[in-house]
Amino acid sequence: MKVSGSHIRIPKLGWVRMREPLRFSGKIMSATVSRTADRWFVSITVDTDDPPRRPAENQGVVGVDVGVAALATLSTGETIPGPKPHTALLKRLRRLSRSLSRKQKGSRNRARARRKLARLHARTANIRQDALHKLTSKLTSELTRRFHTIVIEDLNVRGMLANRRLARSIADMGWGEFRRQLEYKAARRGGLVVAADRFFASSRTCSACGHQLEVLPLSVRRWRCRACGILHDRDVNAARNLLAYGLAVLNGSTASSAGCQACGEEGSGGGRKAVVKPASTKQEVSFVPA
Amino acid sequence: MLTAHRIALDPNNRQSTWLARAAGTARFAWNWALDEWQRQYAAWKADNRRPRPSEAALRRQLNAIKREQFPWMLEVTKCAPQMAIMQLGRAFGNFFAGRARYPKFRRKGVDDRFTLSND
Repeated sequence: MKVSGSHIRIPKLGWVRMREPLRFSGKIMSATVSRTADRWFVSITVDTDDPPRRPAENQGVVGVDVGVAALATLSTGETIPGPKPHTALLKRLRRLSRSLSRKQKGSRNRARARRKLARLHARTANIRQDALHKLTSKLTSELTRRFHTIVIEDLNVRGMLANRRLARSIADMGWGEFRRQLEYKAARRGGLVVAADRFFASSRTCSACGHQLEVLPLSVRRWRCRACGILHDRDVNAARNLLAYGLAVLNGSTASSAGCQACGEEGSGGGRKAVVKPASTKQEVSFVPA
Repeated sequence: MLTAHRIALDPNNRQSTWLARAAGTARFAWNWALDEWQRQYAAWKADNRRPRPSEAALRRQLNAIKREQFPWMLEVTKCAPQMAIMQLGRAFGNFFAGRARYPKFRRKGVDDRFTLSND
């Protein structure tokens, strides 16, 4: 097997055109040819040198709240909308599924309908993947390039998907994949991803004074703190709380003091002490730079 | 560091037929080896003196019989059956280490694939 420009030589078959040349240099270890939605792909494994560890542009810390309305809300107040490809293409998906179910089993028309549906599913997945890669690293607006430490929630995604009213919207955002990409990309830059405790009340704690509500229904997008009177955007508030949680972890204090830490704003905490390990084992740090 | 790069192929009709056959060969080899593994393991359970199944032994066994029994295997690259059995060995390794479930039989049209080694 050999690769030359945008062609790959497969033994006994010959040269096959690839849609783009191989981007990585190094020794080619193996290649797997696979079929997705009746399109052939080759995945070439290359043994490259370790990539240069371009550090994050500043040593900033950010809290990231993932959601259904917006894919991610940062503690800086930015929101990143998700593409929601499945929701957007649902009409076409329904049409094609119905068309497939009407075809006689074993017929050529059925095979063609099946291919059409498979292509739509692949397209949905590609749109989602593109958006997640862009958010976690590719463009200038990305997370691992801008921030050294990223604080996220430890979500029970599988459990949430059991809610049949929310499952479609949740699955459309790809939270699990978002976390996976953040973790490996931060590791590549020597960054740190801190996952907050699963039962950390990020949404219903006031990020200004630490007052904690008993309940906060999902329909409430904005709420006013009864203790200090601040009007909160639900997601931004959660992201700020996560940021405070992350700063507390970096400072080595316990999670319970995270609410107090929230009063100190960005930069007042230990954002620069990224190498400090968390104090307790309860706080899960996904990656500690070597 | 190992990095994978996934690139779309642009095969013509003849080439895509060949790719489908290679994927079918890989699937057949995987299913053959998994079946043999289960049989040989049961035999070893019954009688400890028999050899325990391993992917290297299965590759030798397939190479010994493929010329007579499966001559169509020779029409595609030898990597397709060989890498499939090696991957089965890794799948069993992952299973024994508790990282994965017991390997399953592969089905036509679902995740068709084959692997080439670079040598």
